[in-house]
Amino acid sequence: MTRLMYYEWYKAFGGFKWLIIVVILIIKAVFTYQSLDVSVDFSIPIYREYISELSEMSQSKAEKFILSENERINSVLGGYTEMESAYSSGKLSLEEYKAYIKIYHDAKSKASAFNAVYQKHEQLSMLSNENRIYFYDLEWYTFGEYMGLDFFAIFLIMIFTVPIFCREHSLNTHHLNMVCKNGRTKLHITKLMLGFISGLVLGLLAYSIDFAIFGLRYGFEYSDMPIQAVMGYSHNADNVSVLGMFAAMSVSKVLWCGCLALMICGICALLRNNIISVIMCAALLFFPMQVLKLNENSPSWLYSISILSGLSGSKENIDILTPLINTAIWIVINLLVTATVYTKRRE
Amino acid sequence: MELKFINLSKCYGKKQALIDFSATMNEGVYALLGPNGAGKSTLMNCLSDLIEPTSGKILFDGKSIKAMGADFRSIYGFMPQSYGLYPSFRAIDTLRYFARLKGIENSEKKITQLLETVNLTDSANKRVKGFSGGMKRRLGIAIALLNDPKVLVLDEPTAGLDPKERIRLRNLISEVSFDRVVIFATHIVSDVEAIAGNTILLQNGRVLKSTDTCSLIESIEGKVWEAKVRNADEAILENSFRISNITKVSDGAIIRIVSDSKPYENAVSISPSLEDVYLYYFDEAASKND
Repeated sequence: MTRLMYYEWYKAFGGFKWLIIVVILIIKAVFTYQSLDVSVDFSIPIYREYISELSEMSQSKAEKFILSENERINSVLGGYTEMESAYSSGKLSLEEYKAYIKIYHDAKSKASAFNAVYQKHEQLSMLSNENRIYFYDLEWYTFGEYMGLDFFAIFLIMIFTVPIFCREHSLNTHHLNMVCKNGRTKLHITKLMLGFISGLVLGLLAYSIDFAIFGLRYGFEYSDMPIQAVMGYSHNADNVSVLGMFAAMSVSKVLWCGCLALMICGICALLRNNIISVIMCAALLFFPMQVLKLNENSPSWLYSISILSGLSGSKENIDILTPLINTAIWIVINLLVTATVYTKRRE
Repeated sequence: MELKFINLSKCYGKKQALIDFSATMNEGVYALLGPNGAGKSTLMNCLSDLIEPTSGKILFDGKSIKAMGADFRSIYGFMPQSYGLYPSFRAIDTLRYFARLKGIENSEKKITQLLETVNLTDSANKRVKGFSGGMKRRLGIAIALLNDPKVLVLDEPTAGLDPKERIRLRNLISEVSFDRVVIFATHIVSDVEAIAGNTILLQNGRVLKSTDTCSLIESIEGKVWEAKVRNADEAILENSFRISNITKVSDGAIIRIVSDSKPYENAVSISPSLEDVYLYYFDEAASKND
């Protein structure tokens, strides 16, 4: 089967087809690089400064600092009208007013960044003591936001997995194959394995690019911090580090990629036509999500079985089991398809 | 070695493509001769287990080929009428790939030998996408022969080949037929005449005649005529009889006629050929159907 696998691999990726992968991954790398620009509606240096100060404080000291800073900013910003009228009525000297305006502008420039720090403080205060850690998380937060639906991965898997089962029919070689000793079940299983492995490898490549670009750009600072301390991840119940969470998320997505490849293989083995198979695969991918969008009362299993939901970003707990169950389901479906195609529906 | 077809039928909806086909074949070359839609390819596809017969069965040495499954496929070689090959593969890769599919270990020697047999040694390292139709056909034959099949089925093997290649291939089929069953379908009557020991005439899914090729030719002995006719009579004869050949001469034409009775006053009986047989049986069947 190994040699057969080699030839199937060559059919799928041989010649200069691997160049397509390289080109798509380069485009993806550029896209990833641009998408990893930290983009927030407050001042990043001020946020970083606050977080840096807080990270050196004990928990109680940090809490006191945040509360007093919150009070200070609110009182400075809230006292503007009063100070202005005091200066107009001559109760305040020019020097005193100038001093206030300086403080006011400082508070105003810090307000939005402090607001983010304050929200983070509220988020952390819901966590256990060991997870209440202040560190600069905007880069990880951006990475998490970017790791949503990876259309590059889906596209790569589609263009390389669909032909695995449709190529023979489009080239009209299927009859030559089917009259060979190993041209039915063994060939089908080899193709299935190739499809699954291709899905995993292409998924792995796509997500590795994300990590590589992130690492090159920002390094992996604070990767050992608890994930709950990153903005937006406070509801996560896993006892895992930031890097651990993103790595596990990637593993889960890579498994979903394998599952996606198996789904494509099953559909292509049945439909045996490149274009019709692509349309059917796209429908099966997007249909459950559209149903969920249209009807909020849709059953939750629809979400669980949806490959697209697995490939989308998630700030919830790590879930490796669902893609594994889905993979198993698709393996069974594919074996049934094999039996159907080669026993009852030969022509 | 015995390949037996028992009342094999295949229907596509209401259309009957093959009706109660029964035959017993042993080592030798069997030609399936018939017009388009006669059921030749349907019969071959049933034998290749590519389509499920509606009824009937096929036995190889007493065992059902369906039950034999992969065991039958390991002694079976097939070249379909139309097929594609992997364009990015070189000829040698194609044979190596099919050797794997056929479960053949240590196939290199066999591949070298087959490339030589089908005259593709010089093109062994060329990609299939640059091959002509004839080269692809020869490669298809090499694929079919890879596993030294006991049953070799070739659908229109000589189509698209130049005369030299056709003769070469005919000789090859003859050479390999001594210890196996070779079945081939063709429209080219001269190929049948040259190599087929047995001929099965098929029309509309039914067997018209199944016998050895010599007997088939003998069966129309005394029914083939040649006559020199005047220009004026030529058109009358063409409308009334089955004409297998017309040669124009200065004062008229020499016409070869297939007819049960003497068609023209100066007609003389001549030896029949397989082309005459084709004309005799298929025109007769067609007129009966009409």
